[in-house]
Amino acid sequence: MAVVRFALVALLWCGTTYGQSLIVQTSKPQQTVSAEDLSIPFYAGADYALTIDLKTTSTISVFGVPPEIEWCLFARRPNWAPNESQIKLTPDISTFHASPLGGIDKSLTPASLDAGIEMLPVLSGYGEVQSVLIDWSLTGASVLIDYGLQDKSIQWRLINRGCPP
Amino acid sequence: MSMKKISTWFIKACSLLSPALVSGQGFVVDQWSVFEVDFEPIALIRVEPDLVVSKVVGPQEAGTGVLIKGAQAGPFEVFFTRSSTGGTVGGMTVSAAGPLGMVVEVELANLNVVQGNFTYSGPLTLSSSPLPIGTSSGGYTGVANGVLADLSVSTSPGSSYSQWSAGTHNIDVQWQW
Repeated sequence: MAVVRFALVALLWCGTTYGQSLIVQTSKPQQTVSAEDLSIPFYAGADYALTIDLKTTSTISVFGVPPEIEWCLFARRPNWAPNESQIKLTPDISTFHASPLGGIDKSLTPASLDAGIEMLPVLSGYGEVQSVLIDWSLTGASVLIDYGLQDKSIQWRLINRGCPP
Repeated sequence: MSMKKISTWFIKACSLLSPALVSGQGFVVDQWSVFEVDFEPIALIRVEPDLVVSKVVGPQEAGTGVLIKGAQAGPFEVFFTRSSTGGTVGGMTVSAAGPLGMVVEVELANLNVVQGNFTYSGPLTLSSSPLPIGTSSGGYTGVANGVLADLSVSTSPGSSYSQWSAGTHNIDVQWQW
């Protein structure tokens, strides 16, 4: 009986040794938008550029996923006001080096995150990924809106299935 | 069953069953990123062109008053961008940078406020003190982006001829809040 119990515990243990992990390291999370970011920098009569490139980047790492398993990385920004500008996340696939352990889908388009609870696909792949950069930019900003200081968060979610088309 | 047999059996079981377990295993992993974006106040103003020339027509005959019709300089175009960040009420002022030696009226004609709220105060007589020619206000702080206006400068008839001389005169346009 003790042997059977040990075997069951052991089986459960070896089934959980493949714990999946998602690591997101975000650099330069504090950014300033100024007259430099107008559609013509420092030009009276101009509004903000359609896309403001932020110096913020996120490095994504996925571990503990077997090579044959597809995954999709989603993101959403909860607790944002509806009139706030969009955050655009663009995977920089040139920073990724494929390996036998995993890869990424290079056909994805950048994801623009509106306010809301909906998760949007950002990156899809399979297996393990050591690191891939995601560039941040700001879209839809207007000088007419008083944004003030925006202290916000983004939730990332890794799910074991391909991204929706 | 000896421990050696148990160990062997365990390793075989793991190697056989792990892929099946993992393949059928769903996973959802969450992470969070926190960041901060600070929008700095922006206040820019621009006048184009930066130089205009006005020719004063002399009287046709002796004893006739000068500048019956006045003279005009311009038009200028005034552009400005003022972001909503940093205040709720602001205004545009104009002033003479130095002595003019003449009476000059300034007005914003053909005012075209592209976005926001800008109220034109009407023509004014230029002086060395900054005078408000337009204000922005409202329940929101975002006002007066891309205001485009013609700024015409005209002299009043009957000015003292003795004070007139050819020269360059400067007008300051300021945007304040």
